[in-house]
Amino acid sequence: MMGRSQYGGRTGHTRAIGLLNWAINARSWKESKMKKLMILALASSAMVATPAAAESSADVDAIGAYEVTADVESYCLFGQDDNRWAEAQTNVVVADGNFSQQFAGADGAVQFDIQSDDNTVQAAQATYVIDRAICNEAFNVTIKSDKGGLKTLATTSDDDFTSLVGYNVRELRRYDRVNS
Amino acid sequence: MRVLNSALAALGFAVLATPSAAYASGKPIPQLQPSIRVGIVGEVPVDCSLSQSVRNVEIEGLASETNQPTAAKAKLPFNLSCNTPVKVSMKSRRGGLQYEGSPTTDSDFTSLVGYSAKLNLPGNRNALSCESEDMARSGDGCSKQIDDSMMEGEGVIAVTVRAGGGLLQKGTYSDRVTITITPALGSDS
Repeated sequence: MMGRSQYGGRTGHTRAIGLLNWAINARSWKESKMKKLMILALASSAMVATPAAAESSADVDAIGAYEVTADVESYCLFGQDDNRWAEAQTNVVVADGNFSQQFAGADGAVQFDIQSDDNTVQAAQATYVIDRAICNEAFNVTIKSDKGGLKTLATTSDDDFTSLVGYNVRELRRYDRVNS
Repeated sequence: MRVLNSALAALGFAVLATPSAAYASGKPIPQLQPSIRVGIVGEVPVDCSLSQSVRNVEIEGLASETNQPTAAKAKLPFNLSCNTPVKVSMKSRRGGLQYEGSPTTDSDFTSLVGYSAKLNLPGNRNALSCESEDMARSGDGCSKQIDDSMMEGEGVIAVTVRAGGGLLQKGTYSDRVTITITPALGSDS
């Protein structure tokens, strides 16, 4: 047992009975002086009885205490099956949030129309909403591009044409806090 | 001798002088009384004790697959021996399992996970049930008088976490649960 808490104890009355039994057993003693001493003991027991009786009636609690703990492991989730492209896109041809169902986490796909009327690059933008992005501890986010921009597979030696159209990822933020 | 007799008489005992003492004093030997009457009173003192085999209890499986509290359970065992009616109370230091680290400002996360506590006493299952929030209140937020005059054996506080309610931060959630047994003095039971 690790711990034990208790209240209670012998009462003063019980102590007096114990001493009295001792007195009766001592009746065969022959020395009257000893018996007088015994009487003194009885008298003193009556005096001792008072505080002991008070102790038994006091509230001395029996207590048990437990330290209860529960550990939570690291948990990071970046997207489920409801990723989607937000409203108010510009020059978007196809935006597929369900694309993520074919892959893991926050995968998605979008097709921009970046060709202007004079065959130069026109601006386009889209906002991708990642369903359930959760991390229960501090984390770092890294955004990478495989090709460094929108790169064409076609090639030409004419440098009036560009084979790589750059873009920027403007922000990564909590969507519902801003838009709800 | 008079002193002895008067003292014993005052205590309600009828005691005669012993022959040997009388003979030693040179006085005539008195007639012996064939028997004496002795009044004996036995009093059982109030006694109540509680012992624990464990003080530290870990609740396993607090987080669900979605990182929210599950209805995880734990048992806080003890042994109890009481020969008097008692008042039992359960206390929670923090009102639930509180996150020990720095809480996030993200309100989707919870820093306090509530639970219910059910007290099973020897021979008295479900003697008391309380929510952790009530157990943290001062006074009699979670207490009850048990009129059973005797209890002996194993008891347990069964803790069940309240499922849901927010996301969990990585780290440790904790609380201190205290059970207190107080003699119910003046009870008629």
